[in-house]
Amino acid sequence: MPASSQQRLTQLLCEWRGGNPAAFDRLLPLIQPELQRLAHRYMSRERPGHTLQTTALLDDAYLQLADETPPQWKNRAHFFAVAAQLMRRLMIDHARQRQALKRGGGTIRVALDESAAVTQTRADELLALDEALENLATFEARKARVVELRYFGGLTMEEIAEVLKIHVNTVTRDWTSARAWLRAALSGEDMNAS
Amino acid sequence: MQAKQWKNCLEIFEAAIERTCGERAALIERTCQGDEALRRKVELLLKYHEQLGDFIAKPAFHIAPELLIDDPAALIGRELGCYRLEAVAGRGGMGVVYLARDERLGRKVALKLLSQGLVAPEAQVERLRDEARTASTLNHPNIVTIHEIGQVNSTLYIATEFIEGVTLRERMARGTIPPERACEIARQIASALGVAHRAGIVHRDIKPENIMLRPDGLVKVLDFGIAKLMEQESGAALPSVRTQTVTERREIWGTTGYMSPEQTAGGKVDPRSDLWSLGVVLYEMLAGKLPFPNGTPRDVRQAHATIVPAALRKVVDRCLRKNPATRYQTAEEMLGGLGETKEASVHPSAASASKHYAAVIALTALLLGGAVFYAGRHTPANRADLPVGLETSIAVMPFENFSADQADAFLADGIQEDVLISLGKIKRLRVIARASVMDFRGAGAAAKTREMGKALGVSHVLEGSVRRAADRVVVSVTLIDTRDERAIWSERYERTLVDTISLQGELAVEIARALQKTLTPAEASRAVTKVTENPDAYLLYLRAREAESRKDNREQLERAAPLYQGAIDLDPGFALARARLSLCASALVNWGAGARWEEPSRAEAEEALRLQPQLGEARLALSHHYLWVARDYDRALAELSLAVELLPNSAEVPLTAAYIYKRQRKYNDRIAALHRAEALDPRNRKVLGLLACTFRWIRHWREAMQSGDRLSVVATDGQGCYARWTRTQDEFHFGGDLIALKRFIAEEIETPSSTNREWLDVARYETAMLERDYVEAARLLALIPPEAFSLGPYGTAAHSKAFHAALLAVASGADAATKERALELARDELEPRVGAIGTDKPEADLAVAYALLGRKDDAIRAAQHAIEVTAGPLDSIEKNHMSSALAMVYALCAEPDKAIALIEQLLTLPVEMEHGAIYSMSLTALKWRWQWDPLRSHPRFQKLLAGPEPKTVY
Repeated sequence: MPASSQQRLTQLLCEWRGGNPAAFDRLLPLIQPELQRLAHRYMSRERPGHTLQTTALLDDAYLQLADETPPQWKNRAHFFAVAAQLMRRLMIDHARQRQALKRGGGTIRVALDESAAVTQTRADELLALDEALENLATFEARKARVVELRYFGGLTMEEIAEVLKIHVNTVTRDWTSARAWLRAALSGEDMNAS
Repeated sequence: MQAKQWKNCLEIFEAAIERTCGERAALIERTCQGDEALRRKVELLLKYHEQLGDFIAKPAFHIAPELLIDDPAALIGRELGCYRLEAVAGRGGMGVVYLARDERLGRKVALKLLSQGLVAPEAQVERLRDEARTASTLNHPNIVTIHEIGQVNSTLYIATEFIEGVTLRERMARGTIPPERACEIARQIASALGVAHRAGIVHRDIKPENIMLRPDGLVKVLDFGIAKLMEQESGAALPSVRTQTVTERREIWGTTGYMSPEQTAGGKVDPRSDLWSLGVVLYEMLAGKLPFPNGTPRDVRQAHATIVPAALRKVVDRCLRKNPATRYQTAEEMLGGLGETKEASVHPSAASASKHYAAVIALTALLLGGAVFYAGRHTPANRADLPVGLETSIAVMPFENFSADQADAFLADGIQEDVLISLGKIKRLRVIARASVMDFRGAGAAAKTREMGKALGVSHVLEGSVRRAADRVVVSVTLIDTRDERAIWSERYERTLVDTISLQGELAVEIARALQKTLTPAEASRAVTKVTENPDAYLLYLRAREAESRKDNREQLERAAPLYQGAIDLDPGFALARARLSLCASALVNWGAGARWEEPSRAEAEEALRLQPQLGEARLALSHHYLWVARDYDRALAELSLAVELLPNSAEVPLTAAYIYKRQRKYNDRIAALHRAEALDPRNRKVLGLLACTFRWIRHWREAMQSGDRLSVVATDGQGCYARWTRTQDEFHFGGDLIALKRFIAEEIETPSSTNREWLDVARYETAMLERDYVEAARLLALIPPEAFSLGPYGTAAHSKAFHAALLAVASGADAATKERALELARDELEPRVGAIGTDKPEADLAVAYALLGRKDDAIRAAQHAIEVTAGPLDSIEKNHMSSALAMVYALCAEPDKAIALIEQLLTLPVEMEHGAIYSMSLTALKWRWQWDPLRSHPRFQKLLAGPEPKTVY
């Protein structure tokens, strides 16, 4: 990576940490190719019984982006935090795109093949989850963040604790109750009933 | 309120699950304090907690990575706007490219969906789209045509012409590219850049993935003006932020390896930045790797000194200068630099040449003429600046037959052609194709070589003679420099007939040596390979070639085929004879000679290829099989792309491409292919004739006239008169008045020849009809023999004389009985011809006759049936021609609205436009032909005639 892009990445990470939301938008295109490349690799390696740690992938991404200098843990955790958010944004964007095609395309003349249908279902589920997560965040921002880091970023409980500066037991508790709430919300329960 | 309660609820839930089941009820009872709603919520959570299973346990990334990468195949079969996605054509850093069908226009397009998140902020999108739209107005054969830039929901897409072929990246994966081909590719790219730069458009992303190589040799640059769509505010292109050369990465995401230093630094880019990128591409084509493996432009000179052939080193050097001010300043300058390399005589420095690249350097010893001199010209008006490649180009004149027996003429012709074919396989030599030199048969005296050289634009002429006595053959050849008419090499070979077989190869090698050309081992081996070891087989082969070359018609082909078969029977390993037999068979299928030729068309080509995988003629034969027999145009093009490298000098290759493009209704591509064929075979009448008629179909009258002018120069005798008349008709359509027609007649009357008589009378008759001078028309019609109408040199069947007579009777206002008699005669002549294979025009004529007889229903039915049975895709030019007949029937049957609606539509479509055909659909024809008179009082028709002629959409 050219020196200028590295500096740019570091600078944007700093800005984003410093509370500038615009920096996130600019990080996205910078990191997206890396994440997508990893997704490709992940898909091509995938076989039964073999699970690749997302963090291992992200580590790789981070190392690539940070130009192979051993990163400070703090930076790394923060990178993961960004990556999780980016990952969420990317996946949701793509799921939306898929829905747009389904709707915007009008009639689908050719029956979808099986894998496309599965993907479509996943896209729908993902969008529903995203929406539920948004709801959860309105009253339990931290729990929602835990889910984001865990589900979209693939971070371990310890890593989440590090990023959020809370005890790992708290992370576990947040995770459990957030899951139960989301599960209920996604099961069609009326979460607004009083 | 809800939020607060949920927060509370979650706290209770968390406390509850840490308790045992027994303790939970009490805890809930206590904490909810009788709030039933809260209690229900806690219980709900507990219930779902039990059912969690692996809900969101695995990261989303593991479950649906295809969502992240947006598995392109998942969208196949979907529709986006008016496009149906049919297949994934490729993917790049900017998104996925699909092969799609435009449902409105029924054409294939390449549809690029731009990845979200890579696109610049919304506010800029509109401005950037404007720029891309500007780019889409660029009209140049080396620039891919952008059809549309649009957006559905948040997905931005770009629809462009779909190009058959491979990307330069794919081609390079097969190995480095020979310097002369690399030079040609660079020239075509530079030519495209020149046009874009003059229009103020910088490409910004020149790289091998954005360069398409078409089977006919044409290079297309993709994605003009699109790179900017993907840029961020800073002006630095971001989609590919890396300079890595890892193949995987490059394939998927593109690379910055091609970006100029100023572009990488995020600075302002201008045309010179594109020239840097082109320099990198040129370097990579030659060296097989990037010039800056470490991303540091510093070490470029040293690096490429050892790899890039010296002739091109200067060009690469100028492109890859860090300071833009010291690079080439314009694409034209670079074109000049590339042109100079043709003249440079380069000797590899042995010390610097690594073994691996020694061959490349040897091959580059001279970059010249041949393939490089076509840089994609669309407008023949520029023809004057066609570099004629005077340095090293050769015309092999027809060999004279000095044998006592004139029947041995085939031997002279055969040897000449074989020498020509062998030379044609040498890439750095431009060899004028056979059709262009046959005009000079018998002109052999050396005194004329300067003239011939000039006429053909060649530096050298090879003359020869053949004398046969029993089984001894004496071949004498002389190589002459046309500039000073000096014989630079001369040789006499006395051989047995058996040894004559290998003569052409030896001659090719000797000639190359005399011209100071170095042959690559592959070229030398291709040149000296004996086509067969069997002299009798060779003789039969030569006879077949002779039969075929006389005239391109069914009769000659049917004579040639058994001769080839005979040669194959004598030598089953005679690959070239098999390839030729296959070509013959495919042509016979096309001529309607029957299904029995279908099998040899395929089988012989495949067998030839099996025997000799590197035989260009075999590839060509397979391409023809797919074209004429299997009608699988994609495969025909794929085979053709393999043939083009083996037969770099063959005009047959681009000519074949032209045939394919017609069937795919790609008229621009067809024109480009024909221009390329013309460059290789400048005096080929078929090429020039096809070029003129293609322009005519799309109503580019001016270009049609220019092609016709060139055809008139090379066409002789009756053909010349026909060519001039056809060209004059284009001028008539273009100018809208009869001046041109009258001038033609006056000129031809002044210089009568024995052969222009018939055509001249036809021309005068047609002009008289347009003038409505029916007395004169009747006089002329009586003079014209019936066959003059139906048999042109190009084999086009026009209206019969009886039909003309009927039209004349009606137009001239003859009495009812005369009219009826003439029409019935025409009808009786036409009716039996309806339904014969390949002749749907009689039915259209019959429809008009019915209309004039007042049989409205029969007329419309016949015209509609003529459209229906006309072969070809829905909107082929032939079908459109038949639709024009239907419009005329409507006009004559008092259905003006239907007629005008159809005319309005047809004027925007490509149509067949034959000389003398009354259905020619142009504004001028509508204005002059009496058949359209019933429409003249209609305001809609008047408005249409007031012009301008609508643009033909194709």
